[in-house]
Amino acid sequence: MSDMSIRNYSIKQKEEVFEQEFLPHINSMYNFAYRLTFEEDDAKDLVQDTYLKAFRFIDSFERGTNAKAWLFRILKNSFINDFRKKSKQPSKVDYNEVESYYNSEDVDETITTDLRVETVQHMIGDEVTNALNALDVDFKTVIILCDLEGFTYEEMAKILDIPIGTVRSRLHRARNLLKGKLKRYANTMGYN
Amino acid sequence: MVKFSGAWLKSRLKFLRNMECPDQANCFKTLQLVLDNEADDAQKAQFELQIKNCMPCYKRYHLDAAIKEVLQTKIEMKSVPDDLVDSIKLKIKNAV
Repeated sequence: MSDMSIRNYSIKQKEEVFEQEFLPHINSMYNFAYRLTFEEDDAKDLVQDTYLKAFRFIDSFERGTNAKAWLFRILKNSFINDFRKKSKQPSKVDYNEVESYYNSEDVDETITTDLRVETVQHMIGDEVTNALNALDVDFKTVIILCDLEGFTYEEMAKILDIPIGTVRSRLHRARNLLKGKLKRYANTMGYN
Repeated sequence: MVKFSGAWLKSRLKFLRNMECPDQANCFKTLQLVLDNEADDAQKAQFELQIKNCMPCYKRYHLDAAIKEVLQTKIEMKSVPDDLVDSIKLKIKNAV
């Protein structure tokens, strides 16, 4: 992740950074954008917007540091500021309610689902994808960042602008909710 | 031949029936750290011991690990549209 110092890259250096450090992440960026917007055109616009912003602010990026986390942070902010309002599936999460929940003891509750490992392993991709997509955006996001993209808690905290403790509790809650969705799918499909 | 006392067997059966970890909150926190490769060596060792002795934690860990694995292996990845990179480069070229 970049610090606040400004570099003065030449045009050639900017193009090198862009080609060598930013563009290799376009696949992850596009998939993240698609999972946030649910629309291919919106995902394209969001990724394009993110890369244009990244180039505009490239002097605040230090070469060789974590470009992927830096880009994800820009994309997440662009989504919140520009796309969330017009997204077909806006967040239903009340931030105050969520954060007060994170700070409560209830975070440690168990959602007992009696979901079986074999049931999960036999699920097809669409069922897993639908369960993930059915989560509110803030919960879905932490699972994408952690489980699909492999970011560390520290990187996630920077991308999301939240403390690491909140990353942990949000992830815990998100996984419980996902388990509940998977369990409902399993019941619907008669798996259990 | 290992012999178990009746009291011990009774307590184990009661524990298995109840299926609740007595230190659930702490165990689940450590479980998540282990699952996400964020645990230090001491936490890993402590958790390995825990899942050997606690059926709920053992089951929970394997279920969470299975869910993590299906997320990584079964979620469909969308292909990046062919024209996206060129379109971004063109816009940047025009902006410079």
